[in-house]
Amino acid sequence: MRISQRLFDLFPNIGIRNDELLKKLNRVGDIMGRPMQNRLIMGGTAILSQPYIDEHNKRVDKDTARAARNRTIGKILAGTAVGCIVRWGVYKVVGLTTDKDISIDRWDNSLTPRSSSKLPPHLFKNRMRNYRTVLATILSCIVMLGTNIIFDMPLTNKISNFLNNIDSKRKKKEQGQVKDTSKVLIKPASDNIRSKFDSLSKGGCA
Amino acid sequence: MKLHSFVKKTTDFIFDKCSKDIGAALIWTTIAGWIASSAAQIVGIRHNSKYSKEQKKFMTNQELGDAAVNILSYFILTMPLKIFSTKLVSTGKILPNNIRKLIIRNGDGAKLGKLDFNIANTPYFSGIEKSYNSFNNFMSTSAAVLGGTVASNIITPILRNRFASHRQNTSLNKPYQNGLNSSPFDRLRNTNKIKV
Repeated sequence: MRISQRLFDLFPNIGIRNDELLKKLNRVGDIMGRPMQNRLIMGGTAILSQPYIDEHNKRVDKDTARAARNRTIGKILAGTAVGCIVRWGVYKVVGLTTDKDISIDRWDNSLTPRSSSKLPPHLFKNRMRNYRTVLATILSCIVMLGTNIIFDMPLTNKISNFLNNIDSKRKKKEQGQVKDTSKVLIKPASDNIRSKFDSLSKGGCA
Repeated sequence: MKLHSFVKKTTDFIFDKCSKDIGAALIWTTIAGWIASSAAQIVGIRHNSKYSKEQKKFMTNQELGDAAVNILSYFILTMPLKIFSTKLVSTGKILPNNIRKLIIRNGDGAKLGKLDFNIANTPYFSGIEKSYNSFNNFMSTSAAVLGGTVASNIITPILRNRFASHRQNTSLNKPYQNGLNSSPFDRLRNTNKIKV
């Protein structure tokens, strides 16, 4: 992507003076980048927008739009729950296996990069934190190839079928109500005619 | 032993390439995750007996559209946003004040905000690397999250629904164009042709 200097100059040069604010921003960046938290943010924003968009899709009939909405809800809930658990677990494992000391090969430093020993000490903490995040995200992706089929898929189906059942029950109830109201509307009309006929015949007799 | 050296090489590679800026890694792993998730969901839809044939067709197309549009919108929106935010930091457009002061003290004040200037290439960079990396990480991650949210939660659902309904309509109309599953009207026309 090429950026022109003229476009770039439209943005003013900004210096962040407030140290407290800077610390908070760095912390936010650190948290947002963590595998579990990142998945949670994506899932949280997805549940707010995607079901609404699917339900108001005017290109398909109402039933398909509702089924698609239910499936989207199921997919987001299952994906976020399983994704968060997997990422949290993998992040913990990565944390346990990236010990600082790499003088001897042990299980608790098995995932520590050997090139990290060449780093100056003041950069070590920061770079290792980023490394752990990236490694955990990559490993989570590999683990999720399996969990997507084992957990995500059946869980999505269960949630969406549950929501579909609620929808069909509601639909049946609404249809029943429509039938009832139609009966109520027709009944008095026929009754009225009959009663009028009866009254007329009675009147005639009298 | 082979596995051990493979792990060492891989961890070294990830450390060297991704530990300075995690934004790019986040983008690539998210894309890989979508592909895997969409593939699993398609299998799920196909094996769910509670959906009608039309619903299965629509949802499979929706899932395919979801993966394709997600990746496309990520490249169109998230990637440029991430590159732009990294550029804002590397050229010194937006920086913590202590880094700006150091740059000005070293006589590079006039270069701040110029596209050909890169703080990481300056000789005094090692002194500011820690705070620079932390701030760059914040900007890069924020751009990846913001771009990813807009791309995958707003743009993608709208476009994938269009794509899915378009594909559903074309696939539902298709049987009538085939010889075997032709409409009664087509069959009648063909028999008349044979008779003549």
